[in-house]
Amino acid sequence: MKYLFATLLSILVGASLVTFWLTSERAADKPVIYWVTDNNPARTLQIQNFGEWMRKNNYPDCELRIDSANREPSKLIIQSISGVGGDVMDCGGGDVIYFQEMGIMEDVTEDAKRLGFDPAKTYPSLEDDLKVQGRQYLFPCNVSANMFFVNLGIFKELGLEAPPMRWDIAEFERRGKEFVAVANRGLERRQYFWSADIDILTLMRSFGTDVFNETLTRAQLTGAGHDGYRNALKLNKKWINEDHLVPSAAESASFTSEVGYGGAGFQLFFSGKFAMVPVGRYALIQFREFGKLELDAVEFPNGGYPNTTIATRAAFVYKGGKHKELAKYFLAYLASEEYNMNIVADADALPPNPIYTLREEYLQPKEFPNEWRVHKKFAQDAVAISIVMTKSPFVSNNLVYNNYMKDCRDAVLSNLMSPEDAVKLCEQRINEEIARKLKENPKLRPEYNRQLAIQKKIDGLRKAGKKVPLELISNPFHKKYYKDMGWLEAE
Amino acid sequence: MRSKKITNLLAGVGFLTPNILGFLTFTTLPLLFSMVLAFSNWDLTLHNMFHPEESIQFVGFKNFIRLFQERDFWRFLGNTLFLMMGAPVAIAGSLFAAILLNKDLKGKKSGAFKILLPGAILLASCLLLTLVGLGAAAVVILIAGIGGITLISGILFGQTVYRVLFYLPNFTSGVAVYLLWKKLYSPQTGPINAVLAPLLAALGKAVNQLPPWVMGGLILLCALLMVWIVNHILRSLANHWRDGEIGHCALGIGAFFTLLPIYFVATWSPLGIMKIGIPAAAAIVAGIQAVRVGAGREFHCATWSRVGTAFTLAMAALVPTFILLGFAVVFHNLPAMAAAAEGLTPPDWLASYQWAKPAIMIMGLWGAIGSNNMLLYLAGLSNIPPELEEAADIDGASPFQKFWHVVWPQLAPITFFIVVMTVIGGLQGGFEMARTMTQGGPAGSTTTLSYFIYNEGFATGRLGYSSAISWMLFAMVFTVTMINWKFGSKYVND
Repeated sequence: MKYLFATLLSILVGASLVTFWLTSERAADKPVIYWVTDNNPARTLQIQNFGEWMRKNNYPDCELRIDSANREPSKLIIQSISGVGGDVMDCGGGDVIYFQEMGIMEDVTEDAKRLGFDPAKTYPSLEDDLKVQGRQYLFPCNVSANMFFVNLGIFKELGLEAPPMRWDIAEFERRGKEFVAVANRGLERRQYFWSADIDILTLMRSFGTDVFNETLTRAQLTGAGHDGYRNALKLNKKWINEDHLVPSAAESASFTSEVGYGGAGFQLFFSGKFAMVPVGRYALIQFREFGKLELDAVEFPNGGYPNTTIATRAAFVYKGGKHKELAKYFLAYLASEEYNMNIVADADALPPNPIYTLREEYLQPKEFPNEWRVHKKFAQDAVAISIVMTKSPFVSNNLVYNNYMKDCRDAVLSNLMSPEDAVKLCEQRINEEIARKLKENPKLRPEYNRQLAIQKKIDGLRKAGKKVPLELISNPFHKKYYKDMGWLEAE
Repeated sequence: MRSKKITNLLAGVGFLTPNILGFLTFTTLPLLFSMVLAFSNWDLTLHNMFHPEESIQFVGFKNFIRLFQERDFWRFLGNTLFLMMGAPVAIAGSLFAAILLNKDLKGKKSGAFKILLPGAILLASCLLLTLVGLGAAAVVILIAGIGGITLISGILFGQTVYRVLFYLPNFTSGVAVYLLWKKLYSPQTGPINAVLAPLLAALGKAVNQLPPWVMGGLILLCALLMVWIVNHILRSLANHWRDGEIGHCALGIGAFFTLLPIYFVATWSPLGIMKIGIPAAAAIVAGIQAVRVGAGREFHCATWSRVGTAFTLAMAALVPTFILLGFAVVFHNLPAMAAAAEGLTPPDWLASYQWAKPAIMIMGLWGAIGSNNMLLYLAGLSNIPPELEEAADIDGASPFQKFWHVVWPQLAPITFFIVVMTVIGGLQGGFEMARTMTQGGPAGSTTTLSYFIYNEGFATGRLGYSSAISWMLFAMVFTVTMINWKFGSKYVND
């Protein structure tokens, strides 16, 4: 038996050695950089273009490979802090503070200026998703500013007028009620809905409220002038439970709708079950597979302040990577014409550099005339009215948006709490979490105190009816809101 | 001789080494690491290879104190315990399935073609029906036909067929099962609600036509049954105490759990006058038994003697009493629900805050009935000496008496093992279901402690705190297991 064991052990060790020697990295004749991203078929062309772009610019020769198995956030985090992360990794702009705190992202501020992928090469409103404390860590792979895609076919079929580009709450409701009444006439069960979902954050912001105050030192969801979230929750509940403009969780579960890449929600939109779907331009990837639907794009309804949320799937250079310098070229590639036009052709959301949205190939793709109405609108809104999701350095972004605010919305929809109580609890939880983080990480305290002092100053200026200097405001929503409202001090 | 022993020893160690190394590396060391870090402030954002200037600090019991103050911890602990309420039913279901599958149902073997021929005819018929546009009828006939073929297969080939069918859920991967159930629970297009909807609609119509006193009578009946059960168990506890079979603590614990449902009636239930009536009646019966106990006893025993007996008796009261309370609340609310515009409608299952947990429990029951517990019981049943059952038959015991006095005691060791493992699994479980089916929602209703640990660890990076939650969970599991061992093993050994 022991000879059998020894034989098996020898075979195993031998096979391991052979595999080790034959691993593709060792077998490659040039450095290999790994890009941790999704397994979108478009990556094949992007990788090929990267190689050609590097050769064209006489940059060092290297091979780019995809690692789609380790994209899941917990895997990415564990591998990164353990020193075995990919050379370039995708992440959402919303995670920039979290990952920067961990220290896993390389500061690329100087390299960005040198190689031409600084924030001036992308959407101005995206800056807060790319930088932390003035230092750049990310560059977008693609950018999404959500709007409503409109299925013009269903409107024509029902003899209804298509929605306008910009509309208020009342108009949204009026047209929505008309649509669901006409579309569902005679049906045993509601099958047609006005919209697949509602963007609560955008709706809240349209009332002039954001999650955080100007200096990001506390949540501000209640109180005079801050009832946007409460209003948004009330409207959301009304549109789902009373007006049936939006499917409930149960109805959504019946559709198995998931509005994201690869989700069934797009199929339902395409079949006319949803008149509109709130999503980014990347939805065209799937729409093109279904056929050529007549499409339009309109803004979300607003309570006085039109806006949309801009987000990015961005890439960062792993600080512990073996090929950091080569990985920085990849970020430069993301700003290149080759890559941007690739995104334009694929309709994989918006290209990182907005100048490519002025091209004919973007505005009027020859093969898809049915889309010509939408492209300009997406590009314009991404520049004109979009704002990033607010992130505070004093509290985890994940907890705020994926836990507290989600629980709040669910509690209201499940009739567990009134909108007022739910919002109050949400604000309390966020502020408690801020206090906890400050206690656990005393290094944040000096900056927090400094921001508190600034907040006091801002509050004083506002109370006195005076304008506020832009440099005092840290919250990207408030920066734009103050500017649009004319509350900023002239520079 | 000595060198041969050493050689054999080395060979043995050699064989064991890979497993030991693996166990140390992937189980023991991480476990110890986690235990140390539970008392630290380890935070991924501060303590990793990219922050060499930051050091992990010992914080004592701060993480645990924080845990006890966190409202989410208690809420998610409540979710975990709620989901475990299905465990006794699951164990009973496994036992029932095992008893059924232990019977030899094999009939005369007359060839497999007796299955194949009608099966082929059935399939051909369904295909023809589908082709002529009667697909729905074809599906119904197919389902009925499968049931029939299953029964016939059992008769021809014995209980092996049924054992395989019962055990099939265990072969399926967890995520695939959860996704399947997610579709089954689909509120408007899922088959479960498709069956429930017409039934509930008919029930609603029937309820609307009933005079009001019918529901009142049913509620009264539930109330009387609750009081009867409480009286019966309290009297049984008092008798055991007076006979010196249980100690004072056992009596107190038994009485507490027996009366617990009454507390819920008084404080929570919307039962109108019954909210006062039931507790009043329970107080009277409890008072009567208290007087009997107050009169003292002739036979004595240790204070902590037989707590398990008292606890078992209390559970025998608690479970049916809560079920009756549930029925009473249903009867109370049913007329209003039936009279509503939409009538009685099936629940939204996973999309509903109130029904998400019961939905997961039902799914768990489905998997648990035919699980390894059933196999263990099957093994136990086959090990019962047939002479015992024959002796019971000779003594004229009924099937129930045979089960209760012969079979059930013989299964005590297996039941003890199953209870211990089920409790451990129940406290630790719920992660895959939450992650795949509900993401812990709606509104945190299906977030269990295991999902909370994962979320807390990766959403905020506070792995020290997450470790503390994990070890708190371990402490709970350990405590419950020790209680089980201390009190349960006595019954096994008896």
